[in-house]
Amino acid sequence: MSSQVRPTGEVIAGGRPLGPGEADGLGILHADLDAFYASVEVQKDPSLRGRPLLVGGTGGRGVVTSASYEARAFGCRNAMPMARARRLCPQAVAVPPDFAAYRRASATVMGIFQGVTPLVEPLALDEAFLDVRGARALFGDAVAAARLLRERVRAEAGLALTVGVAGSKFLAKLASTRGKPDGLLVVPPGRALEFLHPLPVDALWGAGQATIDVLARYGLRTVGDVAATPRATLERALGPAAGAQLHQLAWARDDREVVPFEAAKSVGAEETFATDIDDPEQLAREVLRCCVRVGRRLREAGLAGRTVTLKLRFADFRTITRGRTLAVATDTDSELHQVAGELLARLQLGRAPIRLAGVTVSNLQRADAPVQLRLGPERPGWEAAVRAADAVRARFGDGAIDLASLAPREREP
Amino acid sequence: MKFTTERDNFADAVAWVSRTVSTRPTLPVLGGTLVELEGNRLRLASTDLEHTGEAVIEVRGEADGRVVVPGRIFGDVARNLPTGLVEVEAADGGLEVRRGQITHELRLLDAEDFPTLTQPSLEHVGTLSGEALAGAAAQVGRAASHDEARPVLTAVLFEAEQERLTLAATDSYRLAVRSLDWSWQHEPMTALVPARALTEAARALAGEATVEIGIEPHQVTFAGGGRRLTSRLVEGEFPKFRSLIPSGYESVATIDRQILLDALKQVTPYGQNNNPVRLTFDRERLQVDGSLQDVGRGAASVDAKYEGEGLTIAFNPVYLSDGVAAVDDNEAVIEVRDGLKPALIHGNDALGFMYLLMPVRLPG
Repeated sequence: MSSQVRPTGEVIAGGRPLGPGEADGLGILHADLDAFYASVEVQKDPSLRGRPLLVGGTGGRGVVTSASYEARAFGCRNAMPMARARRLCPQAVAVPPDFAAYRRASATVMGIFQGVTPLVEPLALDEAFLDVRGARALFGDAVAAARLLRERVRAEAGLALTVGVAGSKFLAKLASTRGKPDGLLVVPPGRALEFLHPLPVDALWGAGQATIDVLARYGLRTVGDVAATPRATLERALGPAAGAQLHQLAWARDDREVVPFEAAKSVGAEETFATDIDDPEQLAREVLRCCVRVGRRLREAGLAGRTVTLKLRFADFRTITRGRTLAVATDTDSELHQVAGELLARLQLGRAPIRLAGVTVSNLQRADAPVQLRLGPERPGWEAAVRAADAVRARFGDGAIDLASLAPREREP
Repeated sequence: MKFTTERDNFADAVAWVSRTVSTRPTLPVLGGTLVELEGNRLRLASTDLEHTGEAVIEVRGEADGRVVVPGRIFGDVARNLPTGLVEVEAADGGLEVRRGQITHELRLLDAEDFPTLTQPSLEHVGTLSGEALAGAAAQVGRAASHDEARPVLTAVLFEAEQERLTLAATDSYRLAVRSLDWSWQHEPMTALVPARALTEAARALAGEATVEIGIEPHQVTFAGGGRRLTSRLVEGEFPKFRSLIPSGYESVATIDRQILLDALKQVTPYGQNNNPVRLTFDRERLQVDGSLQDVGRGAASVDAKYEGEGLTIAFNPVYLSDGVAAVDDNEAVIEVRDGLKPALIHGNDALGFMYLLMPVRLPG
């Protein structure tokens, strides 16, 4: 594979072209869509192109889930309170997230990944690890596979993809982070330390602010500093497990495999309210709303679950959970709501102010497992209505259809 | 208090009231059994406030008295005594139970704290034999739910009518209904009796020639042979079960009940985690298939008289065996429509007992 003509955005660590055999140890890719939610929103509404865009909760306690690169230029960041982001960039357009659209786009992209290798480990809607070592005969070396992915994602999904190419998950992920936006960064194993050691310590996986502070007290600011420190010293400073792990990573030692499919253990939905809720009826509606979201996610994933757990966080941050296990797994909103509603009623909360409510279904099984049917009048109408509503939401977005009891109430005169 | 009694009679009575001793008493005295002697009449009682058990036996009384002793231990003590004459006497330290060289001394709880047990009203009472009640309870009780989240389904519905008692239970996957003759001279009444109370009372009273069942607005009493169990009723509305039973099945199989049970037993090893068993109905034959992915499969074929289209229907193996075992006839009749409609299982006399069972829907 020639690397004389390189598309823009393509970088090889160390800045020198790959020498003979240098591509051999490459095989792990980390693929990450750039400003994913914001990019999908631009696709939906091309007039937003080039403008600062914030996707996230637009309510009082909303948080930015995705900022376009134009908005990032003003200092807006993911996970920043929406109010602060809007102060930084008043001209930004803020839109609520449209997860149905993101899931559709994600499915397209993951499908492209699957076309290159079956060893795809999705981490989120917008990122995945891929092991392309077995794809050499079909697509060439790992760098060629990465180029192919970027081209196909641009052509078929209309999205910019950054790919990190390396010999391990740790380095591949680091490479994609350093390669953004719309880039391809290759870290051949022979140049791993040359790439890694100048980076600040927060590049190490698992190094949070507390760890960074400790390392700073020891005068360790770069990964190279950490690598040059005896392992025993790190273990004393950070504890045996964390110290040993940091030392390993600082020497680019990471042998985690790409695990193609991590079966979900639970499916849940929760909501932090813009203001605390103390009205029992309103709280019951919010719990119903969670049930509807969970039911839909279960059906989309083809799963059903037996254990329903209700989670509530009080205004003072005290959090409680109450659960029940059913005889037969369910994926229907109404059954989830019956159980969650009973769990809620049994708590006898009165008017205690609630900050967050959530519903989780666990004890999952494939929904196409044998189902013990129930006696009684069939409710084909309701079942069909729920499936039809799923289809409407998938096509027109989350807000397109809802239960009447979840519709905004008209103010009483 | 002091009396002498025959061990067997005494132990039976103590065993009866041991059932209703609170397992986790909210008051210490609710973990106790009341022992009360008046002349030659010994009365034993216990309650967990939901259920009350009472037994009255004749003993040779010497001194009247009323004490409460720890109920579980009292039950164990009485059960383990060897046959023969037993002497019981309340002394300062506790209740002494003596049998030959054996002496037990049980601590006394405060008898003043023991709740006053209201005497059940005997206004609405029906009677039947202990054997008939035990049979019906065994047929119906298993279909009741264990899910305390839906209390109504943990009950057995009693429909008391002139000369006819109907019991029904459903856990929403199956429905068992049994009608039997009895004597009831009142207006029709219904009651939701906790399945556990019914099963225990019916089993213990199985040997009695006559069992009385008294129904009141909030409780039911089973009485026979000087023993009595009163249970609070379950509140709520039982599903309208008659409308669940389809009429006019076209496909009907008749099979020797025991042979079918044996065939089902052959495939039980594959039935773990409620893995379904498949029945294939064909002319002259019924095939029973069980399989477990990556483990194995088994099949058993039995003779059957079958009228209808060839069909395969999957069922929960436990529910199916429960229903076939409950048929009180040498032949079991299974009426089916298709893989998504309930099957009706009964004996040749469809009026006495019937069992309605929903299939398991297979993927694809």
